[in-house]
Parts: sequence; C-alpha cells; structure tokens
Amino acid sequence: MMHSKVDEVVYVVDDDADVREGLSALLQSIGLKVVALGSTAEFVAYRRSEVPSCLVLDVRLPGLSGLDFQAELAKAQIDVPIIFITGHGDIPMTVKAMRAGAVEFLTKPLREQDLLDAVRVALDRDRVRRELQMQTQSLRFRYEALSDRERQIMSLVCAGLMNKQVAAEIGLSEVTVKVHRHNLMKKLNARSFADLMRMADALRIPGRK
Amino acid sequence: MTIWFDIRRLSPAARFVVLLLTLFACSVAVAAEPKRVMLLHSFGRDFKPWSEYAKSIRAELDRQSPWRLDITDHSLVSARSSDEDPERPFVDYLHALFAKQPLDLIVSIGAPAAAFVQRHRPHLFTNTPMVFAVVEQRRVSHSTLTPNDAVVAVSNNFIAVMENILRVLPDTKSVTIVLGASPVEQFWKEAMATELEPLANRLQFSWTNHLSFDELLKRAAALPPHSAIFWGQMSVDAAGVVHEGAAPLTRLHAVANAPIFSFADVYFGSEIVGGPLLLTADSGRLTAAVAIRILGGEKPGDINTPPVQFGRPMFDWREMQRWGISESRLPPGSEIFFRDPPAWERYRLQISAICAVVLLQGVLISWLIYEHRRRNRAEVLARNSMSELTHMNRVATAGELSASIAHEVNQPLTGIVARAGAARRWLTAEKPDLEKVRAALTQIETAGHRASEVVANVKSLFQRDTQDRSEIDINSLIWTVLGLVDIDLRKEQISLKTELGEQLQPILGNRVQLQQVILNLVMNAIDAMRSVPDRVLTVTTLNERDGVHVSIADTGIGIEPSNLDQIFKPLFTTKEHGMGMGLSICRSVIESHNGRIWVSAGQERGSIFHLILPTDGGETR
Repeated sequence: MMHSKVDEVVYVVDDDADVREGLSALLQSIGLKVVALGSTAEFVAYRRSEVPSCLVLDVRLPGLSGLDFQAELAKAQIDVPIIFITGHGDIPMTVKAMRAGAVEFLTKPLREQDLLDAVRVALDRDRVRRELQMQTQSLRFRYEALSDRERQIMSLVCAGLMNKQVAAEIGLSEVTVKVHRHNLMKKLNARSFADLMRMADALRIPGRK
Repeated sequence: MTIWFDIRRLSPAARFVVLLLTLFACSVAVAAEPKRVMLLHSFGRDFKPWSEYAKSIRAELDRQSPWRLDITDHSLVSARSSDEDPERPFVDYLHALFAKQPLDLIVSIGAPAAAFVQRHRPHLFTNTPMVFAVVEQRRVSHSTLTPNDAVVAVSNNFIAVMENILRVLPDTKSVTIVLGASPVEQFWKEAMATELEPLANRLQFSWTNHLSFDELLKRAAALPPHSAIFWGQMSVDAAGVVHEGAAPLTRLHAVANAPIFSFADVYFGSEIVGGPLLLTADSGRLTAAVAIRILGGEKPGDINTPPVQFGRPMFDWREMQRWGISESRLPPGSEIFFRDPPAWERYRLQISAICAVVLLQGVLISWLIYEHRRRNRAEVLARNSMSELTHMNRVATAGELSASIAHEVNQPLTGIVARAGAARRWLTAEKPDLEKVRAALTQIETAGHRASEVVANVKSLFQRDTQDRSEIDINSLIWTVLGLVDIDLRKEQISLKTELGEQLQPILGNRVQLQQVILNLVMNAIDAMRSVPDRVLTVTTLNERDGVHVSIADTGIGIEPSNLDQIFKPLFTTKEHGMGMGLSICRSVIESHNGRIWVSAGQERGSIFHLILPTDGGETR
C-alpha cells in the first residue's frame, strides 16, 4: 500500500472544511501529498508543480459548478484528471462529467477504497500522460534539429515514396537522398522505417500524396 | 163585473166561450185587486214578543201568497189596561176605514186582539174571515168562535219550562216568575200557579204582579242562592208604569243575580239561558198557511190546527258559561247558540302574530344555532386545512430543499467517513501516529454533532403541524432557517446580511409554523434574485411597540405595484411553477398568531416582507 511517491500531488477542492480536511487526512494517511483548497479560484491561482497530480472536486460549489469548472480547465488546456464528488449525483450529470474526461464520479459520503482507487487511477493516468507528453516533446526537439532538406525528405518518405521517387521529386541523386535519410533517422533516433513512421505520426507530419 | 144571462140557452160552443170569458174576467179581477189583510196587534206594533210574530206572519204571507196582498197593521191600545173605554174611538176608526173597502182577512195577534175582534164582530166585521194567531190555547174561548174564525194557537207548557230549569240547574230551589199587573198578566199568574201546582214540593214560586218594576229589579238583584227567574211578561207593573217590548228584560238581566228563563224564542239572544221555546217561525209559517187557505176560499171554521208546541231546546252558550251549566246537562237535541267563537276565531290576528313571532324567533334561533355550528365546523376545517396546507407547503419545500438537506447531512458524514479511514491507517502504520488519530477523532466528533444538528433542524421543519405554542426566540429560529438555506445562498452567490436585534422579547407561537413562514419568505427572496447581478439578502429583527418586527429584504426583481395587494391571496403566483400557496399560508399563519404581514418595495430594488409578531401571546392587534 505504501507505494506512494512524494512527487505526486492530490488537489482537494471543496468549500466545506469538514469534507476538505477529512478527505485530506484520508489521502495523507496513505502518504499522498495533498493540497486542500476552498474554491476553484484558489486552485487556478495555486502554483502547481509539474508532477503527476489529480483533482478531487465537489460538483456543487459556490460560483462556478464543478462541471463548468471542468470545461474551463479543458479550455485553458489544463489537463488534470478530475474525480468528482457529489452529495447526490444524477445520471445525466455523471454522464456529462465522464464524457468530459472525468476519472470517477463518487457520491458522498465516499467509500474510502473507491476514493483511493480513483485517486490511484487518476495519478497513474496523469503520470502516463505526462511521460507521453515528455516523449513527444523530446521528439519535437529532435525534429526541429533536422535541416529543411531532411524534413522535406522525411515527409516524402513517410508519404510512402521510394528513394528513387524522392530523388526524382526534389531533383537530387538517389545516393544523396539515401544519405539524407540515414542522417535524419540517426538524428531522430529512429531504428527502423516503422519507427520513423510512428514518429511522423506523433509529430503529425502530414503525409504527401 | 158578472154579466147575468141564462147560460143554458147558449150553444155548447158559446157556453165554452162564455165560460172562458168568465174565467178570464175573474182572473183579471184577481190580478187587479189585491187581497186586503189586516194584522191586528194586541199591544202595539213593537211590543215583544208579538211584534216578532207579526213580522214572521207578514213575511210568511208574502212568501206563500199566490196573490198580491195589501196588508195593513193596526194595534189595540187598550190591552194593557182594564179600561175598555178607549176601544170605542178605535172601533169607529176601523169602521170608517173599512166601510168602503171591506177586508178579505183579519189576522189577530195575541189574545187581546182576538177578544177584541170577537167582541166587535157583529157590527164591525160581520162576514170577514179571521185567524186568531199567537193566542195561547187557554185564552181561546171556543164558545164564541164563529164559522168565520180559525185559530192558530200556541201552547205554553210551563211544566216543561220548570223541568228544564231543574234539569240544567238541579240545585234550583225557587223561581221568581215575572209578570206585570195587566189583566192578561194577572190571568197568566193564575193559570201558571194552577199549572205549576205539581212542582210545589220541588220549587218555591214567587210572583211579581204586585211589584213595581224598580222593586222587582231590587229583588232580582238580591235573590237567595239557587234561585232562577222566569220571564213571563211585563207590559204594565204594579205602579202602573207601562213597559215597552223587551227593554225591561234587558234591565232585569243587567241586575239579576240569578239565571233568567223564558218560554219564547223572541226573548232568546242575550238575556235568557234557554230551554224548550215557542218558535216564532213555527207560528208565522202556520198562521200564514191558514190565512192563505182562507183567502183561497176555504171556510175558516173547517180549518182545525193543533196548537204550536215548544220547539227544539235552544241555549245561549254565554249564559251557560255564566251560570256554570255544562253541556252534558242539556236535554238531548239541544242546540247551542252564541257559542264563543274558539280562541282562534276571536284572536286570529293576535294568535297569528304571536305564532309568527314565535316561529320567526324559532327560525332565527335555529338559524343562529346552525350558523354557530357551521362556523365552528368551518373553523375546525379551516384549522385542519391550514394545517394540511402548511404541511403540503412544507413537503413541497422539502422537495425543493432535498438537495440542500442531503448536502447538509452528507458534508459532515463525508468528513467523518474520510477521517475514520485516515485514523485507521495512521493506527495500522508501522509507526502509528497517535497525535493525528486523536485530532481526527476530535474532528469526527464535531462533524457528528454538526450532522445531528442538521437532522434536528430538518425534523423540526418538516414534522407534522401541531397547535402547540411555546415561547420562541425569533432570532434563533431565523438562524435555523438560514442554516438550512445556506447552501442555496452560496450556490446563488447571495450575500447575507443579518441585523438581528438584541434582547428581543420572546414570541408565544408555533415554532414549526413560524419557521415555515421565514423559510418561505427567504426562499422567495432567493427566487427573486436569480436573474439579477448583485444579490443581497437582508434579515432584520427589532423590538417594536406592538411586537417583534421581522423584515426580509432582497435585491431581486421586485413586485409589480399592481400585484402588491394580490400576492397574499391564495392561488396567486408569478412563478412559472408556483402553486400560489406560499404567501397565503404565510398570511394565515401570521394572522393566526394575531400578527401582521405586509410587503413594501426595497430601497433601490427588490422587495421587503415585514412581519409583526405580538410578544404578549396575541393580545395586540
């Protein structure tokens, strides 16, 4: 159970101190770092560290409702997994929240294990997301290190053209193309053509006809 | 008129014509010439009882006669005295009167007139037929009757009269017999004394012929008990005073201390008790019938008529009452006259009025009782239905509030559950953190109390209504309500301002109902502010002269001035899904607390609901 890591943060946002502090105590008791906040505004204002994290959010809050806040966050591209808690959840509300990407929709008073499971799922999901995001980020850096010619040739290769066709297309010798291709695969750290294709996909490089 | 010739010489046809002519001539004569009848009175035309007989005979003659009659009345003046001298001029007068126009019939009324006619017949009415009417059979001298005379007598049965007295008044010991001093009355005294001989052992008779009328009255006024008076006749008293008609009887009746009886119906009607009486109508009818037969040609001497007897007994109900004669004592077949009309007939108007008044009062009383009961019932119903309505309203409010209530209860529960989990983990850790466990437990306790408080508030708000009244601190009641709607206020971003007065006087009232009112008003205020930007709910309480003043102000959309006087009416609503019951119930509740509720416009916008709740349990109004 005590597999908790200090580099994870759970944000608890509830305007009710009893709930807020109770949940915080529970999450702290399994070794999680908890930040308890009284309102969504406080959450927005809070300087969050870039570690895997999740948000435990009361649906019914003064001001913006939890669901509205979820939408706001998505708009602001703050991609934090949300666990909703509610006094009485109805099905439309649940569906709406889940469709918008909520991890779980829990009804108060919460079952301890449900909350802990949901928090674990949310944190793992955030970690994976963050890792994926990191990978894409480094790939992008490497891609941006390519020369224009290399980027041009990558685009054409990934569009399915043979080396000879590429050479014909851009008016270079087939050998030169092969060199450029070798170089760019090395720069991008791609071990095979399939690898390169996946990277192009991740970078959303538009294939050419 | 008659043409004399020998009819036997004429042919049969001519005989027939002559016969027709003769008959015609006769009938013309009959039609043209009235039969001349003289009524001869004994004592005067207005002297009772004969005057009544005369009237009756005259009426009967008119009724029965096939011919036209010429009836003249004449009266002896001498009957009341023994002196016969005044007769002479009267005879001459009659002689002169009827010399040229002979009479067809004379009807004498009473014995003196009969005697007069008999005396003067030879030279006055030689061949004129005559009926002696209304003459007592004992006064008829049959020896002097001629073939021209018929008699219609009456029969005075004095024994029957006295037996009647004894029958209706069995205690009667003496009878005073009223008769005057004239020869006729003297005659009757003798006749009666003789006739009444058989009753001498049962009744003592006294006579009045020797008394003046005044003496008679005096005596009649002081008769011993068990006396009776028999009214015979009083034309002349012993003092020589002549008395007319029935006047003396009336005077006697006025003073007499004993019941008066008589023998003829002519006296019946106000003074005498009654009994078997000679009926005027009997004599009148019979006399007229005999007269008509004579006028029609029958020989008077051939007509034999039995004397007129007493008719059916008649009694005067008023006299019966006066002398205590019960109806059961009367002889069979008696007829009672002048019976006091039943109270209903006499006092119809008064009785009707009284009945109407009593009936009206009865109706009024019944109506009032009915109204009273109806009102009581209506009050009970109203109380019940108000209780029902307020309950319904609370149930509706409960629906609206259910999310809030669930939230309110779940918040502390969530805290409790979470902390309990945390505490367990801290205890089972390798190094149990007891300090944190203790803190968690303390918080759990606090949260538990909070939850039970919410439950208690909700319970008090939604429990069934009772009529219980208790002392209420209005401020704490307001706080309870505000606690319930707290979540709504926060959700709607309504800022709450409370200006609750200190040391408010307690109100005697129904906690549940008053909570209901405050809750309704606060919920209305929240509703009113949904669509406005700056939302402020202000609740104020302060002591005032006539009670505690509570005001609940919002900054909402306000109330149309035209609706200000409508909003407390049942079923009035401006809300899309409103029932229109809330404010009418509020008003009912406040009025049942003898308080007042009204609404005014807010300072800048919105509206302010005001309550005045009397603090002395409702004496203030």
